[in-house]
Parts: sequence; C-alpha cells; structure tokens
Amino acid sequence: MTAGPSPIRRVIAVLAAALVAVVFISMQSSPLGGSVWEQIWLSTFGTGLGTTSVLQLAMPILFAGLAAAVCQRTGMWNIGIPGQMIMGAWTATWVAYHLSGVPQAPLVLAMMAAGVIGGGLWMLLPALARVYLGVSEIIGTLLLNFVAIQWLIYWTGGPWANTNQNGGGTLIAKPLPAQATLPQFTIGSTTIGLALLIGVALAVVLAAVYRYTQFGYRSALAESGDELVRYAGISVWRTRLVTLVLSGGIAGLGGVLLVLDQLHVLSTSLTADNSGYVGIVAAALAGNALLGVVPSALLFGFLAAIGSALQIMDVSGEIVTLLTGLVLIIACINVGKPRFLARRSSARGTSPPSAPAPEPAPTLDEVAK
Amino acid sequence: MSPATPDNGVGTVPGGASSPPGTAALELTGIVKSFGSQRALDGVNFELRGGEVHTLLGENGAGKTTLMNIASGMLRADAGSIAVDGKKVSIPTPAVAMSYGIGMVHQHYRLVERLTVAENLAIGWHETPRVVSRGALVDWAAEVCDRYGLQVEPRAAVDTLSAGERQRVAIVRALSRGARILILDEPTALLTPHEADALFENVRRMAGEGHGVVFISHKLREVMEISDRISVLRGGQLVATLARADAEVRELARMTVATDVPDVPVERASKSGRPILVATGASVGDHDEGRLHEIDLEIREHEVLGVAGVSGNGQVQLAELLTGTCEHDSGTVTQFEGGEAVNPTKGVGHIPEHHSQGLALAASLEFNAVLRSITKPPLRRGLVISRRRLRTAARELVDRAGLKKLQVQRPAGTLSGGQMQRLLVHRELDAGSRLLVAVHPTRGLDVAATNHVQMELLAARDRGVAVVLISEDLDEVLEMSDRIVVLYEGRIAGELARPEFDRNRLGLLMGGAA
Ligand SMILES: Nc1ncnc2c1ncn2[C@@H]1O[C@H](COP(=O)(O)OP(=O)(O)OP(=O)(O)O)[C@@H](O)[C@H]1O
Ligand SMILES: [Mg+2]
Repeated sequence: MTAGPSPIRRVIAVLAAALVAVVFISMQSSPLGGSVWEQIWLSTFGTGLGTTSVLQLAMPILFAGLAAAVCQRTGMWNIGIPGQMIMGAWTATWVAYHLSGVPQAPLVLAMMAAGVIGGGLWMLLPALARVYLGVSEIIGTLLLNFVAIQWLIYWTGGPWANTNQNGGGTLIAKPLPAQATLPQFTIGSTTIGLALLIGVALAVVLAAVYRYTQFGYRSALAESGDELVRYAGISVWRTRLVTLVLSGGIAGLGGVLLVLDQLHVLSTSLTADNSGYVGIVAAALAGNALLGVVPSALLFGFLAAIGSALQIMDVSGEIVTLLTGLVLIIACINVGKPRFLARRSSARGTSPPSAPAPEPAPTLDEVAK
Repeated sequence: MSPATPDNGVGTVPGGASSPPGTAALELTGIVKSFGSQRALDGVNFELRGGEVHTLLGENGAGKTTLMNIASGMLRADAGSIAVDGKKVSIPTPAVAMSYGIGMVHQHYRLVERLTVAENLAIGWHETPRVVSRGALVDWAAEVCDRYGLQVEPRAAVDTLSAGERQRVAIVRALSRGARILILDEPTALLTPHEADALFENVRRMAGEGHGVVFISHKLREVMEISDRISVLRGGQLVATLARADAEVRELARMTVATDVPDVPVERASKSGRPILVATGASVGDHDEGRLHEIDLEIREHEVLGVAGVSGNGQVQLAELLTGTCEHDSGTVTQFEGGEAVNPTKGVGHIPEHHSQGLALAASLEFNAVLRSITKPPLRRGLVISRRRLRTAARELVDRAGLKKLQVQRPAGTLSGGQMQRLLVHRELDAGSRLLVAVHPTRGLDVAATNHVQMELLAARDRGVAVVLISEDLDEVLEMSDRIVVLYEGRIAGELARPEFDRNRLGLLMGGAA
C-alpha cells in the first residue's frame, strides 16, 4: 500500500553504494599487513565475533528503523529518534535505580516498559503540536534531540555521575543493578542478543497491525494527504497522534535495549553510533515496509561493522557515513527519475532535429529592444 | 492569413511555416506500447495532415492519451515509427517534440501554479534569455498572447485563473514555441460551454492557418462540430478513420464502445418523498469571495435535484456544505433519514470536482476501492480488517466500474482519466445510500460509461436516494433532473420543476440576468 521505491531500485541502491565502497576501499592499504578485504571479512561475517558485532550494531538500527517507518506510513517524519532513545534509556535507568532489589525478569520488564513510556512521552509535545496546531513534526522532533542530549549530559555528569570511573570524553552514570541485563544466546561462536530477537518480533507484530487492522488502513489514508482525508470524511487525527507516540515509544525501547544489551549503564555514548539517524535511512531503503526494515537494519549493521574495522586499521571509517548517505540518495530518488534517466540514455542515439525549424514567435530579446 | 494575428514585423507568423494543407504533417506507424503485461497500444497507424482537425475517439482506456504522449515525447513506444513531414524521426523528450513543432496541451495543462502567465510562457524554453527584466517579460507575453488572439493577463498568477484561461496559456505556450501540430487532450472537459465555444473558434482559426490539430474528446456533438476527420481507437487498435461527412453520431458511438447506447428515459414517474436535507439561510465563507449566501434548499428522497450554473459560482462550496465536509458560518443545515434527523455524513456519497480529490493516486486500486467502507462493517470487525472480504469487495467494485481487466494492485495514478472517474463514481454510488452529491459525474467518461452512470444515478433515485447533480453541462442537467436550481454568485437565483424546464430561462438565470 505504501508507495516506496521499487524493490529493484532498492537493490540498485545497495549495489551502487557497494561499487563506490569497492573503489574507495581498494585504494586503502592495511597497516596490519594482509589485504583490507581480508580484514573486513574477518571483522564481519568471516568470524563468529564479527557476526556478533554485526548483529549488535544492527539492533538499535532496527528499532530506530521501525520507529521511522511507522511515522512514514502515516506520512510523517520522526527525526527525533536519538532524543527518544535517550529519554527511554533515562527513564528506564531511573526505574532501575529505584527497583534495585527486584529480580531480573520483573526488573527488565519494568525497565522496558519505562523505556517505551519515556520515549513516547518525549514525543507527546511535538505530536500534540502537530495534531492540534499543525506545527511540522519534523522541526519539533529534531529540536528535542538537542534538549535530550543536554538532559543526558546533565544527569550523567551531575546527579547520577559515577565518581569512581573516568570515561575519558564519555560521561558515565552510576552502575545499574547487576541483574539488569538481557540474556544472550550462543550458536557456535556467534552470540545473538535477546534484544535483537525482540526487535524482529516487534517488526512482525507491527507488520500484521498495519496489514490487518483498521489502524493500518487509517494510516494509509493519512499518508495519502490531507485533501483526501477531508474528502473521505474519516478522521485521522487520532491515528496521527497514536502513530507519533508509538514511534517515540519504539525508539525509547530501542534506547533501553541498547543499555540492557550492550552498554549496561547510562552514558553519553548512547547515541555515539548515530543509530537514531541511520534508522531513518534503513527505513527509507526498506520503502517503509516494516518487515523490510529487518534486512535493511542488518545491512546497515554490516556497514557499521566495516566502518569500525577500517577505523581499527587506522583507515578512514568515514567511508561508512558516505555510503549511508549514498544509499539514502539512491533509494529516495523519486519515481519520475528513472524514466528520465532511461530516456536520456536512449536519446543518445538520436540525431538532432533535422526538420526545418518553424519561424518562432518574437523572442524576448526582440521585444525587449 | 487571419486578421487576428497581425504581422507587425517583430517576427513572422508560425502559420507560414506549416506544412501545406493536405499532406501528412505527422505520421505514426505501427505504434506498440505495453505497460507491464498490459498492451495499451497494439500497432496503431495514425496520420495528421496540415490544416486539419483530426479527432481521436475511443472508450476509456482505449489508448488515446498514451498514443499522443508518444507523439509528444512524454512516453516512448516499444515499437513503431514516427514521421514528421515525411521524414522519420525519433522523439525521446517533449523538448525534441517541440523542436519538430509538436506541442501537447494536457488535460491539467502542466503549468506552474505560483508563477505568472508571463513567467509560465517563458519558463523552460531555450530561447528565454537568462536575465530579463520583469517589464520586458510582461511586454513580450502580452505581445505573444495578442499574436495568437488568445487574451490572458500576463501579470496574473496562474492559480487565480479559470480553467479556460489556463488552457489559453498552455496553448499560447505551445504556439509561441513554434508548434505547428497541436495535440489537445480532452480540452473541453473542464471548460464552460462559453469557453468551449471560444476554444473551437481558435482551433478553427489555427487549422485555417495550416496547423494540424489532434482533438481528443468524448462529446460526440462537439466532435461532429469541429472535426475534419475522425479516428476511432478501441482496445489499443485503430478501428477506423473517416471523414466527418461520412460520420454519424449514433454510428460513431457504436464504433467507439462496440455496443448500442440506449437513451436515458425522458418520461419518468415522479414520486416526491420526505426531505433528506433542509438548509435555511446557510452561508459559507468570505462574502467578498462570492461563496454561498443564505441558501434555502430542500432536498428530497426519490428526486434528482439539478444544480445549474457557470462554474465558480459556489458549486464546490455547495457540494461541501451538502456533504457535511465544510462548516457553514450561519443558518442551519439539517439532514434526515426516514423523517428522523441524522448525523450529516451518514450515507452520503460525494463525487468531487476532480477525481484526484477522491483518490489516493499512489495507493493501489484495491485500497481506493474500499476507501469509504474500510472503517465500517462488514470489512471491519472490531479492530481487525478482513483481508479476504476486502479483496472480494474491491474486485467486485472494480469489475462493476467496467475495469475488469485491470489488476487491483496497480497504483490508481496509472489509470486513464476516464478509468479513475469510473472507479470513483461507482465507489460513491455505493457510499451514497441516502444522499449522493455528484459534481460533473460523467466528466471524462466515454459514451457508454456516461450512459451507464446516468442510468445508475436514476436507479439510485428510484431506490429513494436523494441525488444532487451539479454540472455545467446544461443538457445533462435538463435530461436528468426532476427539479433544477440555478446557482449564481453564491445565491440560488431560481428554481424550476421538470414540467417548466426551459433552456432559455435557465441560460438567463445562469448569467444572472433574471
Ligand atoms: N503508467 C501506466 N501504467 C500502467 N498502465 C497504464 C499506464 N498509463 C496508461 N495505462 C493503461 O493503458 C491504457 C490506455 O490508457 P490511456 O490513458 O491512453 O487511455 P485513454 O484512451 O486516454 O482513456 P481516457 O478516455 O479514459 O482518458 C489504459 O488501460 C490504462 O490503464
Ligand atoms: Mg486520456
């Protein structure tokens, strides 16, 4: 129902980006000896450790991608995913500090719930502004990112600061209760976090909701534009409000899971990997198909792993940022473009017009004289 | 040379460069075009001579627009060849088409809404200098409009213009760039009868100057009036090309749609029912803008109420008022069902002025088909939508709209103009179980579909639905209505019951002269 880029174009996007990557990476040489390609292979799918890191990097991108896609499915943008991740993680941390004696399962569930609530509430202000005042949600959500980052710095550097630890440039909060972790499953030498599986399950549930419920159809209607909505006489303001808050909640959950699964403490490195923004690109690449976000997030996890591998080798990891941008541009080229490109290429063989050009009407120059 | 295009020495009249009358100016041979698995054109031959008006006739989806898009460089054919003045050419883009003197005026004109007329004339043309003063631009535009005898204020922003004026801008733009072959795709669909007459006069003059004109229309009466030759397309194939002298309306209709088209019954039992909607002193919008002033209107079951009037006299606002999609500022509007007051949006169908207003063009046919019923049982049960029922309901509606061959997963935006209108009309016929407000319901429909929709509207009336028919087509209003009100400058200027219908009197009321 969503008019995203066609699957063919998505594949082209990835291939084109890969081509650029090949060119750039081939120009690098590895200081560790051996080829750059070998290093990349070893640090991604070539080893269990590499695979584990790809999956870990993909996890927050998956949640961010789902948060972005949900909004897009109603014709809106959520640019505030990093902020919502922070607020989700913050709220969960607050809960954990107060429930330190509670056993693992209830504590983790309470933290996850708190994360959803924190992210969702953080979205409430831009959501209400959008629905009641018509203020663009793009601006509202984006601005709140900066507020959230300051909030995180304040708490990790102030009231919750961990005075026993020097994190270098990173501010780190007091440790969480030891039982605040999520299980990991090991298959061979690869480890899969429960968090990633939760993300996949969420994608499945959301896909079903959008396909089989009234809410999904109202969203599709909202995506089709205000004029049609007004004409159809079906009210969608509630759909928009719920969508925005849901999107914030998903992002918040992503933030908590990042803490529970990988960081194990609230710190300013929460948004260091830019997963909140990369998720938007991942959603675009998936054409906002909710199940499509899963492979798309894995792809970006893979790219991120390449990036860190290159960095370790002292080769510029910026290539990954470049690739991400490139994929976004190619994936988002609008529907009219490929036809234009096709036309251009087939026009090459055309001889210039040979028919006698008819006498034109007076030209501007002539009249201007 | 026509006196309407004075030669003042600044340039020569393009008519002088046209191909001699009678020879083929544009020749399309064996044109084939498929969209995915669907073949839209299947080896079509078409020839346009200099100085002739050649009408392209065909049912909705026959391939008329596609064929002309190929001639004007909007689309590329899969096979076949194009010749201009006997020379084989390749036309990959509209700019190349223009360089061969082929200009197309699309149904929605493709103008930049926010720019002025002068800017629209100059934009995107290689001969426009990179730097030009506003004054020079306006002078030039005025001169060009004058040259072709098509008057439009060059300083006016396009979004303030009427459909007829926009069309003139589009035509002048094509002519000023040297078009000798002008393709007009359903040019009269959005025009008032008066504007259409002016267009015909211009078309005749252009033909007189040696231009070739391709004219696409579903209105057989005007086809007979304007054409020199008529070609009929059906299912992507050319059925016949005949001279006007050999053509006859009934025969043309049969050739176009391959069936006989029955007449709409003239005699109808009138059965006036209970009121469905009562408006007293209802006003909408800013008074200066000529919206609606103090409308008193009663709409009843079992009745087709025709609303006649020149467009822009409050038709759009009236439709929105009646369908409950806009608020009225004063007065009252009460809606009834079986004598009881009801929620104003209950059982209301609304065919809006443009099909794009009622369709999600990027979404599938299926989604569009169920757009109005999706949030209600039986498609919805609780919070869940039944996919199976949705699919059946959508397929059933699409078939009923005469679009049997089309896949329901296609985006609605890829339908032909008439196919979109069919889908929309049939969906709203279903939605309007109590009140159906139809604005130009047969706009863009072929003869058979027009007839079918008119029959459906009458059938709805016989079921007890109150039908409000808002149209500029006086013939249609006279033929269909049980009662007619005339809208003039946002007021109801008069009301006639079927026995007292009188074309002259209506004409006067529509002009504000009574
Ligand atoms: N972009 C597209 N993708 C798929 N099918 C298309 C596309 N454009 C047109 N078609 C199909 O090709 C056929 C011919 O369409 P076309 O627009 O030429 O019809 P038409 O004769 O102009 O009809 P109308 O009288 O309704 O304007 C239709 O069946 C239409 O659905
Ligand atoms: Mg058409």
